Amino acid sequence: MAVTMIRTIIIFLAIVITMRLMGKRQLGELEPAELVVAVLISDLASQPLQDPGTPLLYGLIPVITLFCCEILISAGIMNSLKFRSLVCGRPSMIIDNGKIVQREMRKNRFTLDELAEELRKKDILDIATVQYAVLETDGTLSTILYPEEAPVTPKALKLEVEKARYPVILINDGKVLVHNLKAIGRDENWLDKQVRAKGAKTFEDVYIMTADASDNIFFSMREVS
Amino acid sequence: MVKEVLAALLLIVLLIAAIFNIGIVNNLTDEITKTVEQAVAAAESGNWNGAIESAEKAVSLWKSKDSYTHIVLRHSQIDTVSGALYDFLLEAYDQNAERLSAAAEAAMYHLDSVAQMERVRFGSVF
Repeated sequence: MAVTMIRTIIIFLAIVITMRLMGKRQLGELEPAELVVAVLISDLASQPLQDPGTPLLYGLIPVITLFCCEILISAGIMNSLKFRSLVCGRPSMIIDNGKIVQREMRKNRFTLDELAEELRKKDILDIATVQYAVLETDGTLSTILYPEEAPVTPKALKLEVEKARYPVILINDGKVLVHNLKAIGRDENWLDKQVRAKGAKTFEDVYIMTADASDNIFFSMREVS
Repeated sequence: MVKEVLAALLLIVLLIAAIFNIGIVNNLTDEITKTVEQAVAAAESGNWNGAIESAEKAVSLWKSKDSYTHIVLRHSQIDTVSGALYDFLLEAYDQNAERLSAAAEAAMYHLDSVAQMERVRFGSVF
């Protein structure tokens, strides 16, 4: 039993390191080749876990091999347009200037129900408002609305707005992120004042605090359990 | 670029290690097979002491690579070969020529099977 536990930990670490080195965080962003690798890795790596009589190498070598192949394929995809279209395919224009391209729908086996579902996920209920819709190689649908249907922007209303500042997390679950504090040009004394002004006694009392360079603060106290 | 070069190098290293493994497993099985054949030849000429010595040497050779074989071979394969070699050794102790010959065939078959599985052939790939 101890051996099974140790083998499980080794395989688990091998998969985590491999997936991390592959560099993708969300399943939805994987290209087809990467998705295959992700699925295969988990299945192959589990073989030695299911059978203690199978050497660990029978799980580790396939994982390492798949990882290396994925790195090389990704390099090919990055450097060659032809190779990229061969491996990943090309995006398909599903709606072109307001008209549904039925040939592309059939080619991608994309049904009207699926189209409506993907549009609803983007809060688009009326298909007539969509000028362009592209089915990407990873299966997601990108949409561009007609200008008159798109949300109004300050630029369209000729309004001048303040430049957006990037908010950074300063306190994460009671821990101060010093490098973020420095990034907005502040120090711990300033942070201490802000935290006390919000009613907390110490940094450990804070669940999350964010701020930007204009001192716009988001603050949440830690709940007492 | 560094990642890609390292990935390619790692694949090459794995391939070289696999080729070395084929060599090691083949050498081991060939050596044990020869020792088994020597034992059978000794038994056929009436030299049972020589046959027993060769049979013991065959078992000892297999056991000496135990750490390595447990890393690269399925344990069920290892158990099968070990069982066949010990059966062969028992027949040598019993000094039964016919059964010794049959046990030798079985042991050599299993040894060859192990070697074949490691070799890159159409049959082993598919």
